[in-house]
Amino acid sequence: MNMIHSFSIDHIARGLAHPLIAEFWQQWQRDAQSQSGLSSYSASLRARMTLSASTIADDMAPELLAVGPQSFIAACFGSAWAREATLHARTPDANLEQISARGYLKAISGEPSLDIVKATITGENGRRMGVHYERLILPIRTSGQHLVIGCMAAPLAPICWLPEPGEQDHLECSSTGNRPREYVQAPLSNVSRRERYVHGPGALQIPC
Amino acid sequence: MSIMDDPEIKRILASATVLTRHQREIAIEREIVMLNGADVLQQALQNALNIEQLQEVEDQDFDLAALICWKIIYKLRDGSSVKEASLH
Repeated sequence: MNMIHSFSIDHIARGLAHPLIAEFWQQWQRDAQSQSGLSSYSASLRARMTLSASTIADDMAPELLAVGPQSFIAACFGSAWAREATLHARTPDANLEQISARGYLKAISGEPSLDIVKATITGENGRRMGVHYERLILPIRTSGQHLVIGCMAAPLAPICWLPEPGEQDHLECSSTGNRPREYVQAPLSNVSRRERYVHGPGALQIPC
Repeated sequence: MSIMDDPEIKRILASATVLTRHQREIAIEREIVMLNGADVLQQALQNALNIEQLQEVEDQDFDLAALICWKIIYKLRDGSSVKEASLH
């Protein structure tokens, strides 16, 4: 079941937010004073954030203008998708577009939106994944005074690729008794579906 | 829907076929200057192609870069028209 829990922006000042979210927020506050636009954001931040248009239609999140190659959304949908995200304009998951819309609407109206999202989403190839992340959506004025919407998402757990129906029998399961099935996240490219599910001691393990 | 079925992209590609690369660069640059959207465009090109200016792109990637530019231009135009409408 998909869940979005909104938090007061005070959580950041109280040190409760993910460091990446806090860094994005601090930069945004500095930029609000200097009004120097996107160029004042560090390359590291820009590589991890997304920019969207400031108009919303059909209860969907606004169209994407730019997706950072190291952003969480790029990790979810793959680098090839991220590269052409400006053309796709939306993620492959219509449900994600809808559940995200509220936070964007808030940012378009000028208010920051800090949320924790836990959802099952579907990639371009139809593959489902469980995602759990914190996100901060902010209205950003460019140097040309255009309003764009910046979003920073920080994973709270690794992406969990879910098995397709009928595939479970072929997966390697944890041999640690009552612990849940565990998988390791691996990039989609250059690995077969079978190879994406690897587990073992010392590997990064994700309870699904 | 394929990207190429997008009416906006079809329109962009239709005009692209009759112009040289240099002419297309000039047309895009003119729009970006008018819209004051250089930093958004730079961000999109950096993310997609690891370049900052359209002029830097290799010929084989120019069509993709130009499409990205026009998508940004259309979105900035949309945003501008909303901004202007809200002022009236």
